[in-house]
Amino acid sequence: MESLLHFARGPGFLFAFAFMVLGLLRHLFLMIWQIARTYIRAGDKSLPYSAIAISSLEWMFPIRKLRDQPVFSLTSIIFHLAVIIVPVFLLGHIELWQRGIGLAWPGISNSLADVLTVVAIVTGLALLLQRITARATRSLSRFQDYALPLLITIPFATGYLMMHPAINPFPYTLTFLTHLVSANLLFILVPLTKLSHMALLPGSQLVSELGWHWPRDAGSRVAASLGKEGAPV
Amino acid sequence: MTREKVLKSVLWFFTGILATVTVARFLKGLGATTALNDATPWGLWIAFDVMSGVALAAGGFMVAATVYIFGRKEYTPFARPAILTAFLGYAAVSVGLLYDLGIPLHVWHPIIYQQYHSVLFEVGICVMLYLTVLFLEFCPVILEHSCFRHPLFRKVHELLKSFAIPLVVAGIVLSTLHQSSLGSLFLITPYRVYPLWYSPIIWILFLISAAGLGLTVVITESLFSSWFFRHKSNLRLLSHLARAASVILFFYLALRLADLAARGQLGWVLTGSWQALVFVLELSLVALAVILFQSSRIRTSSVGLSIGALLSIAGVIGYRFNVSIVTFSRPENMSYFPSWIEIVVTLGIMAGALLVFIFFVEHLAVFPSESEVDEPAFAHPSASLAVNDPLTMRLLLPESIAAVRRYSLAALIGAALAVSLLSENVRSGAFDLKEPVSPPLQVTGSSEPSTGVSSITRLLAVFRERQRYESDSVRLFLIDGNRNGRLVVFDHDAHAVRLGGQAACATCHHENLPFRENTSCRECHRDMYSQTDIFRHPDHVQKLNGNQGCVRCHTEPGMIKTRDTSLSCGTCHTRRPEASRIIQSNEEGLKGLAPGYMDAMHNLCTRCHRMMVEESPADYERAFAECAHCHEEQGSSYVHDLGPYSAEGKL
Amino acid sequence: MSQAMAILIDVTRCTGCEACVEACKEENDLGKDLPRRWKQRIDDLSATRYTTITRRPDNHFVRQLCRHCLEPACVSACIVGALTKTEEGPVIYDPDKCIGCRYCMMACPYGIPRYDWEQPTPFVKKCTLCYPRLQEGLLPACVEACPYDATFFGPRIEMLAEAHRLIEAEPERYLPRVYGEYEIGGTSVLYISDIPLDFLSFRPDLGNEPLPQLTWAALSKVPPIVAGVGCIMTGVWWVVNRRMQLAEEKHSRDTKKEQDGSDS
Repeated sequence: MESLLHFARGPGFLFAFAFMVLGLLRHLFLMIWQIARTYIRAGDKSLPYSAIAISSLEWMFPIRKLRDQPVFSLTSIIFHLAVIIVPVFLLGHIELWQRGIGLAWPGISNSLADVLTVVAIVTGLALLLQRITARATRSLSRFQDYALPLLITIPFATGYLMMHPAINPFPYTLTFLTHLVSANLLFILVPLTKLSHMALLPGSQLVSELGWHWPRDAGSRVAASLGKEGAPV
Repeated sequence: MTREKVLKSVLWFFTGILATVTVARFLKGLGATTALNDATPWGLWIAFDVMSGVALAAGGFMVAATVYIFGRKEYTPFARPAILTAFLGYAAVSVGLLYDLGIPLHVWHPIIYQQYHSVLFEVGICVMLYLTVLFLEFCPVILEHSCFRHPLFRKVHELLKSFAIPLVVAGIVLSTLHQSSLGSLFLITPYRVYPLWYSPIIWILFLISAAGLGLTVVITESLFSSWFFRHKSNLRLLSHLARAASVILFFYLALRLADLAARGQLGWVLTGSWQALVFVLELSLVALAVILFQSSRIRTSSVGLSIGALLSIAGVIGYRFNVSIVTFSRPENMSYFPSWIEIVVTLGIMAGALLVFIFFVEHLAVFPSESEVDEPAFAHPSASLAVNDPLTMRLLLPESIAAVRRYSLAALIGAALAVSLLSENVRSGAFDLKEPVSPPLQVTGSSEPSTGVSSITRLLAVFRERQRYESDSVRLFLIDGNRNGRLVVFDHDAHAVRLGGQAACATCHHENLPFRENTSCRECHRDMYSQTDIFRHPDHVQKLNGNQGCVRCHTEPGMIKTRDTSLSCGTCHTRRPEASRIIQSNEEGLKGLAPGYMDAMHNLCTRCHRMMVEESPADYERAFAECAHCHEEQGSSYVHDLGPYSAEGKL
Repeated sequence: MSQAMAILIDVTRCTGCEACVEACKEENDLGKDLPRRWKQRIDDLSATRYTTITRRPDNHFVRQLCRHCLEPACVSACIVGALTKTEEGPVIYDPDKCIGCRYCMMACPYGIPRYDWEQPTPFVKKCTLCYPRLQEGLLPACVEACPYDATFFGPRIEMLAEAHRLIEAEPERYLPRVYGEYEIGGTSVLYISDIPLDFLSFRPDLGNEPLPQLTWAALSKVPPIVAGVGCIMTGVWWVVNRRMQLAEEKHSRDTKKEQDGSDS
């Protein structure tokens, strides 16, 4: 158990975290590279830049969405805020960063962290529930759409138990190990699943807008790869 | 297609590892990342990346000489690949050197601080010049690319072409010089290179072996390219090269043995030492290649050619390794085996060079255009499209995009893996060594100890002195915590008597393990030089009732639970002994850390001894407080006689 | 003080008190010795210990330090001349020139130079015979600190004479040999001893030939090789090229003739 713990907080964490950071950088790099490439090849180079900027901002700060779908949007916003704030601004985590790389930043109080943790768990489960109940989302969902919210609740739940050892029915080290392993797993999954939206979201509107400006020979390429060259469309 | 994807993915994986490890090497220094030591200042990076790298790139000047000087135009197909291989080889050598140099920013210093008496100076200048020459020799190939259509580039191209012959001659001269000088480097170390390898003509041997190696590398490279790029290889020409290589390598073997025989050093082979075995192995690799290349059937089959070429490469690289690392003499317990970081840097540089080679071949006319290609479509991979499979939801990506995704993922995995493999020491730049304290040997008896111990003069003296006024048994401790042979003969009972008997125990034994009375020093001061953690967390968890008890010490449950953020031992353990005149309690002691054994003992014994000298100079001479008063140097022979000592082995 | 100076160490008088080590550490600001992977043992010569006491069986103490050879291998090996032999005797090091190739460590027959492996920008570390102190007219710190007169300092000629005088005065006390008088051309640190000191070098029989000559034997051949190989290669090329041109001309003449013949 101790050696597993040692691995999970040492090499395991390093691999997962480095994989996440470098993987997100890779995504960004590839995105920029492909945007440039598509733009150069695009038949129509005119782009509605202001519209793209506005819709990007709308996606990043979904205030307007609150009107259309108040319950879902509110849950989602609160969930995202909690999920970002707690791990990054928890005093204990900051302490770890301070020791590891010598960087520290102001954190939130532990009581606020407790509240936000519970909020994150509850909103995460609520989002999952909404996804299952609404027919439109259910039909669009893949396996990862159900698995990821569940996976995200694990480090929060175990983290809460570690903060309150007195109410923790499980052995401390087991709780700790679960916390570490689930968090590491999430880090690894970030660049591989839809979690990569944390880096790709700002550019997504530009990409989708650019996507309509097909390269000049795009049609023939699609036909070629489908093996239907020359066939009538 | 798959061989391209697999090989390139692997190469990118190693390049990714290299990227991470490079950061560690240049931020943390050589000590943290390599296994080099004071007795082995040159390791894998010099032996392989530099010495072997230069030798492996000898194909460039050999083929250039054959084609351009000796006018054997039939070997022209080998010229461009060989020059490219040589150029990339030398570039890799330069990069490898930057990793190895202590101060890589000063790599250009030989240009302004000339030192004509140093062989290394000659090597450095020659390698710099030759790298330039190789670049200029390869430049025309680059300038043939369609993106250099500007008339200025055409002018440069013409100019370089007209300088081809002087460049080739310069390349041959420079190669002759530094290929041989890499051997001359070891002329100055006659006392450290094993006699089977040391030779006043080692520079001639290096030159000849490099010439032979260059040809076998051209063979290997040609076979690899024909496999990878699906060319047809010209086995007839390759077999001619192999024959030439075998002649040169035979000459190298003969000269090496003749030189040893002439100087009367050949007898070392018969000594049966491991060096002799290595010598026989190294030479037999080359000899086997020479013999294989005698058969024209082996010489004209690509399998036979590759086996022979690889054997000779192993043999000649082995020569470099054996001279510079393997048989280079060093003190005992100072062995060298490259750290994994050294190995992956070497692999990563090779992988990078190979990727550049593949890139150049794919985009430039490195291979003659008339060579038959099995799959013409493969020549332009960017034009091909990924097959779209609607069932598996694969993205419709052209190969040029899919390749970037694939290889960047391979590099990413390599880089992240390397991050996790960097040990704690490399990341923090800490160099602490663990050296557990070995228990003192207790010698008891009423008569003189057995013959094995009799060489310890002080032990004998103490025995005799004590026997004069005491008839009962004598108990002595031989203390040698790190077992380096500098032991202290400690007369425990005499110290006890002198300090006041039973009542004085606590003068030295300042603390005991729980429910124990006579805890010895090394039970807490467990490491020779570094602090020992004597705090037992599981015991406290049990004692304080599991999870309920955490807050007893970790008073702030929200803080990360570490030693720094919890209460110190003294908060609960109020009855710990006071600091005395001799024992000093320190900050670390309150956090459950015991000082290293050496520091603890020196602080205890020397402090007291010094006080005695100061307080009563009449009774105690100055030497009473000096190292040699307690420490006794012993040869290693006696250690074998004392059973329990040698049984555990030195850590 | 342009006279060649030297240290004379009397092994029989050393008690291993390490006062010299302490003084050296203080003079060069070296700090505490720590166990490290690249050392044989903690009291080995290291980047934090320029001189040390090697303990031999039966309480013999041999001080180790840079020998400051009269014709030093390290100086001839150094690629940029960062190591120099001064007129006064010390072999000194210029960290601003050093590129960190560590060839000096390879070349030293006594295995003296140490590397500061711990640093991201490491330098070579070894005894300087207290060169800055010598320039101020002071004794080397270790010599000054020795409480038992086991270390002397003075002009090398006088030290040699003193060594021989001591040996002659008490022939039963010393081995009849001054270590460092002739080895590899002589050193600026001399030993007189009652035990053999062969263990201080990598091979007991160092010989009297200075090491730089071994290299120079090969290195001096560079100019002739440059000229020779260059001329030969150019010559071969000229001959081969000329032959090919002639053959081509002949070939074209022949074909022309044939063409002419066929035409007519």
